[in-house]
Amino acid sequence: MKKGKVLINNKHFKDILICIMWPATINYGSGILARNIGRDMWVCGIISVLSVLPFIVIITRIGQNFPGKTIVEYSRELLGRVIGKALGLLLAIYFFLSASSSISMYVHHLTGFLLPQTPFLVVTLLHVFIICYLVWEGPEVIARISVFAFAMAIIFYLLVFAASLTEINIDRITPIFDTGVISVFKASLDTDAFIGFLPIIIAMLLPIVNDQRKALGAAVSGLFIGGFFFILYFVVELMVMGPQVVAMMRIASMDFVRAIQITQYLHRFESFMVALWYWSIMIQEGILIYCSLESFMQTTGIKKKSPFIIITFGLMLIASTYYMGHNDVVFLRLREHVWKYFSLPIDFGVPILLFLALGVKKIIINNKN
Amino acid sequence: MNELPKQIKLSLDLTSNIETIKKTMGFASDVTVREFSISPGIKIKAAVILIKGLVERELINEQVIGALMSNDRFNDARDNIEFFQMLKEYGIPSTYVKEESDVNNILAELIDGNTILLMDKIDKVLIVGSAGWKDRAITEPNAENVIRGPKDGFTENIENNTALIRRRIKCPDLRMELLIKGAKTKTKVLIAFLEGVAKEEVINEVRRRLGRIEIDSVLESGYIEELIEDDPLSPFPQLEHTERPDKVSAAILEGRVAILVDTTPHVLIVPTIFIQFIQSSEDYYERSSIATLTRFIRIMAYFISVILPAMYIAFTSYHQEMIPTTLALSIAASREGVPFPSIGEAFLMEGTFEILREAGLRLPKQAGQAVSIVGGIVIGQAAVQAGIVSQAMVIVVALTGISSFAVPAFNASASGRLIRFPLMLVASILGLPGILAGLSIIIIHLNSLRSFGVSYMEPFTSANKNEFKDIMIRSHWWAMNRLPGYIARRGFRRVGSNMKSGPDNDSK
Amino acid sequence: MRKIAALLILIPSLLLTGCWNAREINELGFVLSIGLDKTEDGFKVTAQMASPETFSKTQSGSGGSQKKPFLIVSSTGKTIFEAIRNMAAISSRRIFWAHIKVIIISEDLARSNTLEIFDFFSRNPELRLRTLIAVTPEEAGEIIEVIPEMEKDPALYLEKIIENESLTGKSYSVMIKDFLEDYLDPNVGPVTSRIVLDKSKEKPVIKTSGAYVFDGYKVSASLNEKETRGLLWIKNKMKDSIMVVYCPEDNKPVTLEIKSSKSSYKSSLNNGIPHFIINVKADASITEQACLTDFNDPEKLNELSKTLEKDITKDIQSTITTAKELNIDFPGLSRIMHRQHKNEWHQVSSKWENIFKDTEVTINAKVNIQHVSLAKPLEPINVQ
Repeated sequence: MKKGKVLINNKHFKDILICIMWPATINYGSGILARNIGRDMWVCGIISVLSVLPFIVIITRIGQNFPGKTIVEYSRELLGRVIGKALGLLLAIYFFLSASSSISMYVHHLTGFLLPQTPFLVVTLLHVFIICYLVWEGPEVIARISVFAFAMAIIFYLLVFAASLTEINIDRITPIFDTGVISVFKASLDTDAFIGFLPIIIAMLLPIVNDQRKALGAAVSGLFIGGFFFILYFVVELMVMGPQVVAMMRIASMDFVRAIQITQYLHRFESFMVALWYWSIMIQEGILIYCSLESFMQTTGIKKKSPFIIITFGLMLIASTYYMGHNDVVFLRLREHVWKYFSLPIDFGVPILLFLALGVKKIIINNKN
Repeated sequence: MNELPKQIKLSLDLTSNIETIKKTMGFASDVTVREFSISPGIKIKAAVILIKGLVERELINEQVIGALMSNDRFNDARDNIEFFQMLKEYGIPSTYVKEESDVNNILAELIDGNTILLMDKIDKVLIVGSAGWKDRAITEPNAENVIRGPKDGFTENIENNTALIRRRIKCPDLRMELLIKGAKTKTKVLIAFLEGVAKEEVINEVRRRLGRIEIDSVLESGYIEELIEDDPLSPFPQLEHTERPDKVSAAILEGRVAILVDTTPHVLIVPTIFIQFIQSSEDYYERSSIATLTRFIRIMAYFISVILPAMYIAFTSYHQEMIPTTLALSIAASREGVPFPSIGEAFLMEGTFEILREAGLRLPKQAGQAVSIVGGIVIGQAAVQAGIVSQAMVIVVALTGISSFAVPAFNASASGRLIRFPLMLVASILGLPGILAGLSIIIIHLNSLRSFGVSYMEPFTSANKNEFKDIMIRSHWWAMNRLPGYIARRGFRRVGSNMKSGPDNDSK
Repeated sequence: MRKIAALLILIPSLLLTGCWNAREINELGFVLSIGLDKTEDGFKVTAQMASPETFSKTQSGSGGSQKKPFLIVSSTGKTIFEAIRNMAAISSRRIFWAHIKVIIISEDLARSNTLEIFDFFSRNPELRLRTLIAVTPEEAGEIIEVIPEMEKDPALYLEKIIENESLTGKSYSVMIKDFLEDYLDPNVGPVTSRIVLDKSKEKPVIKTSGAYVFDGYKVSASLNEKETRGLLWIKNKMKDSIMVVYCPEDNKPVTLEIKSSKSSYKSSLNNGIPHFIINVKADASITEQACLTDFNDPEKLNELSKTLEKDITKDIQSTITTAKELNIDFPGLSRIMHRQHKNEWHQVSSKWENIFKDTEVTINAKVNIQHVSLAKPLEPINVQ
């Protein structure tokens, strides 16, 4: 009934950011980090969260100079038409591939542990259908579901804590900075490969946030709370299993859940765990596809959201997820060794580029006056 | 439906007028005509036409026929027209007297239960209000009974219903707007709201949606409900209906809009949010701690009734590791010798239970209860012993059925029944991820649903913590000091500050 | 229009699915414990499956039949997984691992390479990482086949007696998760429980006694009960356990129950020789005494405490001596050094095997006896 601009309020914005941050990191991230750095992976987490913070501040400041416009729209003004369009297309492809990787991770979860004989394609098909439905309904619905997903995340953490209390042994994570400070800092770049896309997602979502003045506060609190979640998970995982066992696992979170129990009568609750963090990963994929769709539509100038675009996106998503994910050896190598080389330049380069362009433009305007 | 009514004119002759009216009504057998003469001296012929059964006969006997027959106040009228005028002004002691000359309007008034007074040599008639028919007494609505609270319920007469609301809201800001809907039934539809508290947009939207209804009959508020809903294809109801006047009054006081429909005791309330179906009016009359507890129980019952069979299927067919060892072995033992897979068992038992439930509704009161319970137990036990289903399944189905009765609103539990079967189907195909997929679709749908501009899942996702005081918990009355902002105009203060009693507040 | 599109996608996707993973619960064979033995060219796997009739509460079918409450299936193969799959030739139910409680490995098998065993058990997602591991000098298949008197199901019996480690103080219990942690650490030797078959009675009885120590991937030696107790003291698992000491005066036994115990460690590296100081602090209470000494007297209590302290020190000392003789760091001393002095640790970690046998360990035990439940020993009271 309410026509006009779609708005989400700040609390929803914060919850969306929280839900984006943590599910993929607990999935493949803990294994990758443990192989890289061992028992200091939680310190890497802290460093990486702090390193994303200044980029969020930069991108919010840039965004507030162009109220009502997403990054694709104002990059055209800042950088010129050609580079702006190329940037928009690049961002669309980047979001699309990130969503593909996220969906692959979720489907690996299922086909690796819960439903081993079901073909990859079937689960992907069903899941992509739900994501397309979600994106079709729009960002407002995504925002409302993220409140629910956040509540589920809190329940997940309480359960994990309650179950692992008997097994926690703090000796397993000391000493800190075991391998030296420099290598810890280098390994935190691996975590950035998982959460680094946060600033540009904020840049895409900023125009539809209700209260623009408090948007920065909501974004920062979202970053910290989401970061707190996955750092806490790393800590608990290390304290229960120890770094060598974590390093052996592909998807460490499921094996972690295999190792804890609440009472004797709830002794294998992996499916339960999946049921709780599924909502957050759905929100993450939904927002990534939404951003991809928006930047694609803004780059090519299509205004109306027709069902054919969604269906096309869905089919392409199925194809790319299948291609990326159905051989999980290739996928693990991709995610562990190759991903950071193209995600980090985009995550960190784009805000800096726009910031410099804005600075240059302001200097030119000042010189003119 | 949209034909223009033919313009039939009255003539000056009494007999031909009577013929015209009777002919247009098709010489119906319950149209009664009584011809008489007014006041012996003047000898003016007159007639009353009424429909037996719709009028209060004592009224007509005394106020019209009696008043006219036995008085001589009009003797000094010069001609019929002046006589007519005098009649209209002080001849008939009734609260509703109207002059009318269009036959279609005359017939409408006749069917409404009013009396037509015709006079010779006049081509106009007088309509005298006399509607009165046998009405049902005010009794407790049997679908929504409470332990504590008023026990009157709406009836089929819309004037009684408005009176019941007015008795509770004694404020002149209570507005009632009348519309007539239904080309053949000409049903009275009334919008009731509290001016200044209800949101303007909602009121205008209600007026607009009701205004565009074009249908030949409105027999029940359900007809209107389907025509003004935001999403008729959704399994979740977007309007609430009730038979209790205290519930309607509370809703109006909160800023909602009530729609009353003549000839039915069910009143619609808009806008609606999901959590309303877990609330019952008894929550507000009992003490707040017990109200909070029963709300939690109801929410749990709703979820159980929706997902328990699906979870049973998923766990026993796909995720046997989740069940504790001894329970898993018990279930395995009880399933020995059962020919169907658990999906088949589940559908069979659920189907049987639904049939039992429908059958229990149609039987007379006493027999109905007994048949449902006994039928359930006997069929369940017999089926287990015959080896058709397993015991665990019977328990699951019984628990589901009982939980679905715990939800106060019938249309909400009906939505649960609708969702349960697709969820069982998806659970049987993919196990727990299938249930998750099904639940996601439902939750996405719920979050995108709107009821007259208010989002369906409203208070869960709002930013103001004031709104949470009445959702899962029922805060004490002295704490709920503002009206919910998504329904009423913002921040309307309704309870004075510092209302909690205690040693400091009470008088010494 | 969009609804048609939605249906076009939904219906084929539902039709594509079948029930790939659906298994009815009564088609599964719940494996509760498993025993692994060595044969000439591979493994022999004995699995004990639960029989559902044992656990059901209703009378199903014929009454009065004395069926065994469990089923034993065994088969052989070149690798463990092949042996398990070969079981499908004789078992009509699908083997389901998720409820497994105990894994028993025979000593012969454990003395040859065990890498394959633990690789299988950590790779398979159906197993819980909380399964208990035990090694036995007999044949594992024999242990699995013993019918216990007390419980309906042998696996439950095994699990409970292994978990009673702290009550007896003479055995050890370990889960795969903790075992793997030590297994993957090159400097620490993992320890498992030890189960023996007591053949002295007419019906053999299973009992737990002592522990086995692994060196690298193979079992190297077994620990007797005293050394196991020392290990439990070091690893802080002696709460609720008991110690029997002798009265200082007339050498009769006194039983003390340990109410709480805490051990703390200090490590240092002097001239390339590691030094450790282990401080054990315990609270105990007297539960039984055979001598008539009145322990309410603080002096006598003090003497008793000192006796207990000496015993504790002797236990731990014997464990450390065994560790040094075997040159396996199973108490986990290397970890303590790593934690407390990581810089020095990185210098010596490659040489740990060589310097371990020169380790010096000092043990300080401090016992506090807090409860003597009776106010006087059991002798007639002189009331005057």
